[in-house]
Amino acid sequence: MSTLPRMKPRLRLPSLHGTLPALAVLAACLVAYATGSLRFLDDATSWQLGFSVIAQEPGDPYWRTLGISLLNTLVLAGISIAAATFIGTLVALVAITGHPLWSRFARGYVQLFRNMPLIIQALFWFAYVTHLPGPRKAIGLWGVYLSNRGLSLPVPTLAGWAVAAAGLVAAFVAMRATRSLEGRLTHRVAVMFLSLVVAACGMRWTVLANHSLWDVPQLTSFNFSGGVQVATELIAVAIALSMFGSAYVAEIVRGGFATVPKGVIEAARALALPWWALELKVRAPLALRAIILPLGSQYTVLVKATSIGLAVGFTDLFAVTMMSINQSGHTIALLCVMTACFVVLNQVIVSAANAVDRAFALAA
Amino acid sequence: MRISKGHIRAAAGATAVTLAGLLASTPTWAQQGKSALDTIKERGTLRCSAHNGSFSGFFEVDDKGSWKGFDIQFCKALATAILGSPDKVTYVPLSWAQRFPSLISGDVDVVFKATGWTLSRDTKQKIDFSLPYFMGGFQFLVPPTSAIKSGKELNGATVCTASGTSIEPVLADYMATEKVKFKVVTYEKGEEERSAYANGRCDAMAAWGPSLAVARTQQKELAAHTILPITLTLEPIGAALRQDDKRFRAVIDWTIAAMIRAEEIGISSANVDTVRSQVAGNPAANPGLAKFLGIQKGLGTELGLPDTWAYDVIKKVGNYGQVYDRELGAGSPYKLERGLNRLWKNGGLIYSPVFD
Repeated sequence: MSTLPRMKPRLRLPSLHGTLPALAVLAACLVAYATGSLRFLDDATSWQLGFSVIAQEPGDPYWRTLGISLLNTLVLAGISIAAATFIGTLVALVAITGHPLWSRFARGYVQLFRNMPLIIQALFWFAYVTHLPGPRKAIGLWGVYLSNRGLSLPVPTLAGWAVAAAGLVAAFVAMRATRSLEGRLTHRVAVMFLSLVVAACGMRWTVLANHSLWDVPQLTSFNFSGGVQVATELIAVAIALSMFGSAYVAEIVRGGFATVPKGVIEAARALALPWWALELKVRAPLALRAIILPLGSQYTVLVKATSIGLAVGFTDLFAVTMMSINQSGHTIALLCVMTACFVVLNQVIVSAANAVDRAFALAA
Repeated sequence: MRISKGHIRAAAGATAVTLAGLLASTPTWAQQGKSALDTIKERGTLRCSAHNGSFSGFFEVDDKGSWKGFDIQFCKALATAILGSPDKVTYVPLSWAQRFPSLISGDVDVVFKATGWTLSRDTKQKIDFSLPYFMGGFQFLVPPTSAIKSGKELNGATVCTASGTSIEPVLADYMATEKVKFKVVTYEKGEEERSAYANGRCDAMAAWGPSLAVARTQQKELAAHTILPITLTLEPIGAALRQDDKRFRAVIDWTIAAMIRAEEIGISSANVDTVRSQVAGNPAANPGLAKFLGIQKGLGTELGLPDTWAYDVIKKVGNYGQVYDRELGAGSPYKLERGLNRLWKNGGLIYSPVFD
C-alpha cells in the first residue's frame, strides 16, 4: 500500500506573470511623476484628517496625507478581514453541525448580511454607534470606554512595555535553561511562568516603582484623552465590513467543507480514527485546500469595500482622495494614484493566496 | 491561441503607456474649445449644478424632483437671459466634492453652489468666479448645554464639518492662528453631518453661517442651539465657471448685476411691465432705463444675448431682493435677515457694476 508523501508546506515567491498589470500601473505612476503630473503631491494640504493612525498636520504634503489614509485603509481592512474570517468560520462551523436550530440560525445570518447593500449596513451601524451615550455617560470597564465619540482603550506606557519585556525575557531564559526537563512539560511551564511573574514583578516594584504601566483614558472637558482613541466612524464601518464579509466567508468555508469526498470520511471512520483526528487531520486539511483561493478573492473584495468609509466620514484612501481632488483639482492624477494603491494592495493579497495555495497543494 | 508571456508583456506595456499618457495630458483637456455660451445655445438648455440631497434655502428638491432655492434662482435667471425661459435648465445633482471635476469636465456649464471665491480655486483649480451674489461667513454651532462661548474654548473639542468644501483649510488656519487644537471630523453628506452632531458625536459643528441659521429653523432638535458670534472668515459666494471663457463670464456677471440693479432702481417682476410701457412712451426721457429694459438697442449684442434679456430676467425670475425674500427671507420658512446681503445703499455689501 502506498501512502501520499507527506510534504512540508513550502512558501515560494509568487511568479511575476500575474503581477504584471500591477507593475504596469506602478510604472505608469513613475512615468507620470517623471513628466511632472504628480509634482503637486509635494504641496501642503492645509487641512486636517478626522482620524489617522499616525499624527497628521495640516502642513503635511499630499503624498504624506494620502499615505496616512492608505494606512487607515490598511488598518480598517486588517480589522475587517480578521473579524470576518473569525466570525465567518464560526458561522460556517455552526451551519455544518447539521443541528436544525443552529444551522438554520447560521443560514439566516448569512442571508441577512449577504442580501443587504453594504452602504445600508454602514449607515445603520453609524447611526447605531452615534446613538451611544456621550463621553460623560460612557459605558466603561477597566479603563475601556465606549461612547458616541468612539472607543477609548488603555495602552501600556514605556514602563509597561519594559515590564512586559522583562517578563518575556525571563521566560525565554527559563525555557533555554530547563531544556534538561524535556518531556516533563508541566514542570517546565511552571518554571517559565514563575520566572516570568518574578521578573515582571521585580521590574515593576524596584526599577519602575513610581511609573504607571498603563496609559488609561481620562475624561477631560470634552472627551477622553490618553490611551488610544478609536473613532466612531472606524467602529461603524469596521462592524459593517466584518458582518458583510463574514457572511461571504461563511459560505466559502461551508462550501470548502462540502467538497470533502464522503468516501474519504468513511475511510477514516473505517480506520476507527477518533472524532477529533477525523475532523482535524482528514476533513479540515482537505476543506482548507478548497477555501484558500476563494477566501483570498473575498479579501480583495473587502479591501475595495473599505471605500464605503466615505459614506460615514471615515478618512480611508478613497475618501481622502476625494478630498484631495476637491482641494487641489488634480482629478485624473489623484484617481490614478488611488487606483495604483488598490491594484498593488490587491495584487499582494492575490499573490499571497496563490502562494499559500501552491504550498498546500497535494502532490499530483 | 495560447496566451504567451510575450502577449502579456505587450499588453502590460501598452497599458502602462496609455495610463502615463492620460496622466501627462490631463491639464490640457477640457479647456480647449468654444465658449460655454455657444454650447448652451446649441443645446437649448443650461446645465447647472444642484445638490446630492437638499441644502435648505439654497438648493432644495421636492418630491416631484423640481428644484428651488436661492442659488437655483440664479440658474433660472441665467437660463432666462440666454435662452429666454427659466425652465430651460437641466439640474445635475452633485456633491460638494464633485462640483469642480464636473465643471472642468464640461458636465455642467456653471456652478451656483454656495461656492466661495478662494485663491486656490481661482488659480490651481483653473476656475473663474463671477461677481459675488451672496456673502456668508463660516461659523460654529454649539448645543444649548455647551459652555463654549468663544472659539478659544474649543480646545480639545471635536468639530463636525462637511468634506470637500473651503471650510477645511479655514479651520486648519484658525487652529494655527488662535492656538487652539480641536479634532475635525468631516462628512461627505450634510445628513450624516447633522445627525452626528445632533447625537453628540461632536461638541460643535462648523459650517457656513447662513446654512446653520437655516438648519436651526428647520430641525426641531437644533432650534435651541447657539451660533457663536465669531465669524471664521467672510466668503463671497460667486458662480464658478471654466477658466478663460470671457464671453460666458460676462453673461453671468451681468445677469447677476441686472438683478441687483433692478432692486436698486425699484423694478420688480410686479412692476416691470408698467415701468416698461411708461419708458416706451418716451424713451428719450430715461435713456438708461430704455436700454436696460430692452426698448432701445445696446445691452444685448455685445454679450451675445437678445436686447430684452434683462427685462426677461426681472419679469420671469425677479430682482435680487425679491429672490432673497422668496427663498431665504420673509417670504420663506427660514426668515433669514438680509444682513451683509443688503444693497450697498442700505449698509450691505451687494452692489452692481455700472450699466452704461
